Amino acid sequence: MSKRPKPSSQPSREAKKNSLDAKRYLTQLLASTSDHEQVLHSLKQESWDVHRQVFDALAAYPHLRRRILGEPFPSDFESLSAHTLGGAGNRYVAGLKEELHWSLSVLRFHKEQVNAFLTRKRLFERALLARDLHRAQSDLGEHFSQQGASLWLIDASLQVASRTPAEPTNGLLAEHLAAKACTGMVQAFTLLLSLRAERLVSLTVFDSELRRLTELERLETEAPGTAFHVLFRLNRSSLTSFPDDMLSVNLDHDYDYALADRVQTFIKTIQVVLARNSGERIPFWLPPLVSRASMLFEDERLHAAHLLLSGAVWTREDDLMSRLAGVIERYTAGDYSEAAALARRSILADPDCFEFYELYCACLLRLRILPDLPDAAQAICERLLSVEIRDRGASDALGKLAKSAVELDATRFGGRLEAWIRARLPDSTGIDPIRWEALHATVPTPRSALALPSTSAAAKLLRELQTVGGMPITAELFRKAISGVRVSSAVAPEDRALKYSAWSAERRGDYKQAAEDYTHLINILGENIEAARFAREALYRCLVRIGELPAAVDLVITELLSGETIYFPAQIPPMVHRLQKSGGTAVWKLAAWPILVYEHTRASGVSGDNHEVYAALVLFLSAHGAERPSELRTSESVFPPRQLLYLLRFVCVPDVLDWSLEFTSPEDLDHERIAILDWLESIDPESGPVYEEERAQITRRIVLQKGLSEINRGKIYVDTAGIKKELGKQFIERLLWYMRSRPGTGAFPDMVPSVQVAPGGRVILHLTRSGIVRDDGFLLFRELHHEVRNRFLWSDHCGLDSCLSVELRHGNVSGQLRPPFERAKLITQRDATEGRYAPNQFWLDLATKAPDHILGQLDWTFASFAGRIDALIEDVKDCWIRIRSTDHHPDGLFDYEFTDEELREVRSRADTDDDSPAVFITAIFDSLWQRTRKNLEAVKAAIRTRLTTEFYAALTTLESDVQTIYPRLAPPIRQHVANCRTDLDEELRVLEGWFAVDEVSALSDYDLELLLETVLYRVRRLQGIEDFSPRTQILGNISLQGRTFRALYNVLYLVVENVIAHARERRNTADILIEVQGDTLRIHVGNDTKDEACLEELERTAPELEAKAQGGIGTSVVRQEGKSGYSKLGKLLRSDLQRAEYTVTVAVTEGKRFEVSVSIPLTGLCA
Amino acid sequence: MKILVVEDSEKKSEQLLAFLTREFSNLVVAKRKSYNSGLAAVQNLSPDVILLDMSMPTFDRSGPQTGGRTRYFAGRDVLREIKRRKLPARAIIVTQFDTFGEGTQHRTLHELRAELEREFPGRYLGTVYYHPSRFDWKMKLKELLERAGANPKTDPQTDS
Repeated sequence: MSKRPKPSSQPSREAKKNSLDAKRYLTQLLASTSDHEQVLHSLKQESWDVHRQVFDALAAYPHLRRRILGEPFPSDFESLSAHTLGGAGNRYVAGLKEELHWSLSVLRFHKEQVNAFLTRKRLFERALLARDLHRAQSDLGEHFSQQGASLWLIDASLQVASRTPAEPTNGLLAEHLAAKACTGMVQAFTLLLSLRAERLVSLTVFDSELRRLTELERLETEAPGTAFHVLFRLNRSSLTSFPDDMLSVNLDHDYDYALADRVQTFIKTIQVVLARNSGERIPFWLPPLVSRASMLFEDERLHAAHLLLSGAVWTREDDLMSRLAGVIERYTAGDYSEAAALARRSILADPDCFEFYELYCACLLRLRILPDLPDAAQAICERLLSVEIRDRGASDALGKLAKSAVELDATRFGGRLEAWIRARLPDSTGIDPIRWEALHATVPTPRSALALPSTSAAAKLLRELQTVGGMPITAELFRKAISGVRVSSAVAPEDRALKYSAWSAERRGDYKQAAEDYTHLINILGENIEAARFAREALYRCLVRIGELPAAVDLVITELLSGETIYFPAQIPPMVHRLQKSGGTAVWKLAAWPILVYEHTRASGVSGDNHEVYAALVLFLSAHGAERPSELRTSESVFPPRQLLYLLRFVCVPDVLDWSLEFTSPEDLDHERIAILDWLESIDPESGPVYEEERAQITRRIVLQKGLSEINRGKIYVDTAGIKKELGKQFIERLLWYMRSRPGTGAFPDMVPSVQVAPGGRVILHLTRSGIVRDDGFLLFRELHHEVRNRFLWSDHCGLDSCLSVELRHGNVSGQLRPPFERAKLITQRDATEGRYAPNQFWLDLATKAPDHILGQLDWTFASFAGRIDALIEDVKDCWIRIRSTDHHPDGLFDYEFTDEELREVRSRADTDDDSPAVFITAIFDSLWQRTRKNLEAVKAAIRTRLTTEFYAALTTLESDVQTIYPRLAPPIRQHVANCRTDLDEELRVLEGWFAVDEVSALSDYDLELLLETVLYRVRRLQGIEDFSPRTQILGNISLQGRTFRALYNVLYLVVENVIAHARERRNTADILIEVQGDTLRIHVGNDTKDEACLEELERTAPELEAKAQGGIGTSVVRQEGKSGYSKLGKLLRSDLQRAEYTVTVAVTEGKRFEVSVSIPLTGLCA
Repeated sequence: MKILVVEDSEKKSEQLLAFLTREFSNLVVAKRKSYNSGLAAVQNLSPDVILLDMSMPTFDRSGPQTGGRTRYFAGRDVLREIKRRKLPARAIIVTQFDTFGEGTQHRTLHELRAELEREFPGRYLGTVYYHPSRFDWKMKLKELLERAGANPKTDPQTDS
């Protein structure tokens, strides 16, 4: 943007005055500079009259005319903004006053077309809201034939498309239009409008995408000012962030747009200026400009702006004002039935007049009946009522209304709805909701008076409304209220009169009087809770204002304990903030203080953000010399009982307390809450069950956490004691021989030993001279080491590989790594028989309006991604978590190959003066454990680096592919991928933790409930079936030793997992019974089998499964994955739990019910 | 200059530390992994600049421990407590998300940035949008740290 230019010589003042001299004036101006931009800039400084004359004379200057007027009626979509200057050459932007002034002149030149557009726009909006889409479409066609293409037309067409169930859909239409657009700005605008009209897209996503797109440097480079214009047109939340100079730039760029768009920009600029300025801050030049505009053009927004500046009432040609006045008057007089009937009829006649909806709902609240309207209007009213009575759906309803307001932005209805929402939410934009509402009034009403800058202006308006407005009763009530005169019941029904009197007292700052009136009003309204709500809220406001904090809090508590919520209007936050800064110990000592802040926070719609509550609680605790709430128990009597109860119950909760550094872990925090619950139970025994339930939940969580800690700690376990037993006599004999032949013993250094078992079991040792000079002692050591190593690795019952299979490869790794991708909706399940992935319906639904070939590409991309992730997981299971061997598992990360040099090192440590075989074997085990730890570090490093990198790369590819295939999915896919990364990091961290040697259990004694809870939690999580809810029963509780937890967990997990695998959709028919019968623990799990299961097949299988569990079938199966569960079960019972006697029975009943019972002798397992 | 990195993702944390070591001299870097331990370190170590992740657990995750409530705005929460406790540290947010939170707490990165600028003038130095497979975050972070007074190495090792 360049600074204001100065043409070499200006036309004479005389030339401007005379209309006949307009041509001379322009000739002089053009002679002073060849730059049309400079000419235009000079013209903008001129008066209204000069503008008018110049426009009349422009026909003689076609080039200048084109520059000044642009192309107001682009013949087709392709030529829309085709003439944009877009950064070519300088553009001299004038001040806001000059730019608005100039815009008005241009619009005046097209006065007839502007008014035709406004009329057409009104008809279109009415048809759209009445869901008469055929009519709406027809209006748009008419507009196009008369005034050509415009951004408004695109927006309107997309609105129709998004409401039309048949093709073309909003998205397709937008893509079609964007493809034809000849500028990036129109493309961007079209896609954003489409996104805004899209029902599936939330406001937050839309805002985010809008901001991202408008921050693109390319957009700014290609067309300066465009990004701002897009934001100006589409961003609902930054009205106050539009500085005057940018508003000027925006108006200067009006040249680039069609006439319809220029009208919208002009009106919205006025609204923005008026929304953020009032009284003396309103620029002096604005009122005459708005006055002129409102006389020229038939648009309520301009009339409303004029009213705000001058208090002047406008009238309408149709009967809408008289109908609205009729409803208002009847409502004020207390004739709610008649008012509701009239309002209903008016909604049907004028569905774009929001005031009727408001009044209709207000009447229904009084009458306590439900709305009865056609579809769209019914939905709107239901949401309005939901918000007004603050029912459970209020938040959702408010969100939907906000989306509607944004979709219908720049319509009469949308603006007014937005104002209604602004009045019900804490506003961060600084826009006064009353002014914003007045700016969007369909017709002037007494409420408009509230937005006027002075009481006298308001009184004048109200007098006019009494006479010409047809609202004598309401206007009189408002007039009295504004003037501070009490309203008598002779003017209106008692409750209405009292309401206005109370409101009047509150308005003039007489909060004490207002509180009295509101209290009286609440009594009159009696049981009509909904209607009295506003009065209770107002009473609360007044009590806070007069410093009656305990009374105010008591009111809140009464509401809350009756199961209701309270709404805090905008004036409360400053009060709370003032007290936060300067309340002093006198306030902070009150239990009411943190309660007040808590309620303020909650009602402000930021209930998840409780830092202020915590800060208030800290002040309160400090004022009493405490660090934790439970420390106050000794001074319980100091606090009012109800407030203390409320404080402890709702404010001193973990989400508030966890801000404090006083607590160092989740457990610490849980214990504090339990202490608070104990205290609560003592002062409020009636609610005992509530506290008991919360305490039970916390306790369950603590217990479950203990269980999960136990199974998530290092999983690597080798039963070296069992291996020692397995080594047998022959090994010992050879070992003894080796020990005798060690260096320094002098015995047979070149003899090779061999062993023969004679009949009767006697062992005979043969010594054979090798004939070759070598270190036979070392060779023998190597053999011994290998034998121990092989058993350490491959023993079916005690070895590492069976541990890796049972603890890791058997479902756990997959169960740990798949869920982050599943939770982020990035992968689906693969069909076991066909090997195909289920379609990723989540993303296909998001792209539901995309063409088929796009959907096909998306489906393929997500299936490929799922395949890539599963392949990586398979790699981890089948390649990494393996004992490395050249033949079978060359990529295994458990490497137990020892070089001779390493073995000599081990040998040097094993060869001690101690001749005990046990010491020697322990030394070999030490070498193997040392290697195991090294291997585990390698696995962890591989998880941290290779695996993480591979996963990240796959995610990045997916993100990029999806964005390329269907750009509209860019925001959600970015978010889901980022979520997945974070989630994945955590799961990988847990996975890493598994690769540690299983040290001594940290778990103290535990009970059967913990065992069952942990198994169910893990099954649900690992199998992705949150709804798994079998019938469970525990009979006879016992306490078991902590060291047995993991093995028993695995036993129960295997049996329950089997249910999931084979019962599938009938999994919730499962029964789990754990009972203690004498010295035996019996686990019984039964479930219906899937429909297609074959009874004969099951009956044939049952004995095989039993045999596997009893170790009767090839024990090496235990180290395999797939159909090995029962072998693993046997291994766990025999080796891990060291049960010599146990039984596993498998039965299939006539009703195809599959039942498994495991009986485990308890000897040595109980605490 | 004392830098405190508060970041729960090991991978991201490693990348940040490698970047700091490569690009700057005379930095003393400490690392924490949660809101609680991060805030405690701000209080005890008095860092000059904190590199703060935005979403973190409340407490450190140790072994299988979950770390308590996940805070979508842990970075902002730390800044709030720094302000309330009147601690002098300044912070740069390093995040891989462009939207945060849920429901009424939902924020876009842009909204959050504006909120932080408004709420913590002088303390909040800026936000870096981190992406593990991109490099532009490094330039942005370098710029912010230099502005905060960190000494860049005259001949940093090339980025691998």
